[in-house]
Amino acid sequence: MASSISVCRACLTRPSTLVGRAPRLLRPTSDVHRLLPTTSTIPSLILASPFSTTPSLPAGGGAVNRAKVKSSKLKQTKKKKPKTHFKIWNHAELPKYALTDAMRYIRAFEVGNDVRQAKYDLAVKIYTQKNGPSVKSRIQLPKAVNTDIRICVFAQGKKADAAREAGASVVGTKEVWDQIREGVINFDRVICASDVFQEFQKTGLARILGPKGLMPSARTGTVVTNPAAIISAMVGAAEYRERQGVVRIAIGQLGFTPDELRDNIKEFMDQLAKDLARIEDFDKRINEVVLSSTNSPAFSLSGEFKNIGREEDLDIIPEAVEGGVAAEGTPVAAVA
Amino acid sequence: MPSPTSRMRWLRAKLYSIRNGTGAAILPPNISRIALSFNYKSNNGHMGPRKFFRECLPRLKYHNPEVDMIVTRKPDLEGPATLTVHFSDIPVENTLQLKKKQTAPVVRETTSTLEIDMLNRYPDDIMEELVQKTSATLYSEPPRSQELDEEAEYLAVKRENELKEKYKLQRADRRKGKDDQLKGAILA
Repeated sequence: MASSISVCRACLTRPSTLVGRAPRLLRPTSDVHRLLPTTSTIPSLILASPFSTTPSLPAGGGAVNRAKVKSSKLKQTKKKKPKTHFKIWNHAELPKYALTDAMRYIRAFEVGNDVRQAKYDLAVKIYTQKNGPSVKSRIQLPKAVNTDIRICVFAQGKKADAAREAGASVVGTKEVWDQIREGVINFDRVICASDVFQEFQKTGLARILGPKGLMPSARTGTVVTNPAAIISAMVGAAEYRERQGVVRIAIGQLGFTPDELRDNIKEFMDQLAKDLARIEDFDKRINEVVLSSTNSPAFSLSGEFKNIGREEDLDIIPEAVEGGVAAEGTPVAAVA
Repeated sequence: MPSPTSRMRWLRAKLYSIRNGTGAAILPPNISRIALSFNYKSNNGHMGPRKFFRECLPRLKYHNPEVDMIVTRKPDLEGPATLTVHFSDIPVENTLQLKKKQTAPVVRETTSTLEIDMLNRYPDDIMEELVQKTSATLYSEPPRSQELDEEAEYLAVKRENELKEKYKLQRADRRKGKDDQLKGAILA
């Protein structure tokens, strides 16, 4: 028997040496041999010994197990590299819309909704690493979107009075912290006076305020010696931050005219470009600018104010792409 | 953000349906405002008005961006459902394409109104009456020109061929990878 099959044609091993120790290896049920083209030798081997006096190995024993370990090790080494960057897509061939076109559609989708409640949203996709610093900043838009922001100030004594005069809706220290702990949060921004900051940190409220993005910190400019001074600047300001490689911001109310919206977008894009440039050692680029609103689909902006060609043409030949081809912060620079 | 391709396919269908269909009509320039008034609940014949609001009004708004469209909904279960068309003498100014800055929006005073009863009616029916009474012109998208058709066909074929090539390469790669893995497993 052994003379006829000195070498297995597929795997170049000597089956005769294996047969004595582990007959299971040669059955087509094992991982390796199922994938091989069936040679005439293997079935003949199995037929030759329909039963055996040697005790059959338990499932997953001995030689088979070793083979499996080897193959699993092999799989581990071939694992994909973890992705370091957020995924970006090539959207150069897809239709892009001029600002007025996008606004006309959005207004149609938003018909019948309250003009003050529905907002234009801008999403800016960024080519960026998953770890590393992210963009987080505040901007004073030419025409403010949120005019009724409720501000909370942690301060004592004179500073508290000054903050109340400047327009803060919730002012105090311990009684406010107790309220927050009970879940009463009726404000959108938090400012902390620097002299009570250490005391505030001991309360452990970061666990409640942190996830909501309300936690004051010196880095974001919300821990200051004089809270009253920055309240007025904060009322008309909008905050934005990078999440999952996208920066989102409410850029205008639905009732804004195209000119107003364009000014807002331009201002925001300029500042964002500066923010991105400020982060050194990390390659961050603007990939796509998308305008949408509360109840409407999203429109990728071409960077033009008004579209010259017919809209139907865009379906096939994206003329608008020239102005807005991705990557470097060109898209909205062309809006003029 | 979802991938642009899936976003765009969905968007294209959405936009087509907002340009075409019941309600796609261009109103005459002397209309300044359309006001709907009906209930939140659909009881007692208020279903038609709601459908009109959801389906036809966005199309009307798309084709008449200068016309104000105001929707007032009441929490009652009964009562009238009306559509009021406000006419005005001052001609439409195209604010969307206006370059100069406006300090205040032009208030177009209403000179006369036209009321349409929407109770117990289908949206198509309401639209028909609106078009008839205001003598609006219906809009339908012109068919694609032959050049564009050919272009689209050419692009589709090109894309298909590209994909075919890509898949062929991928298949070859996969087969090669499998063979390598097998050989490695056996020799190891």
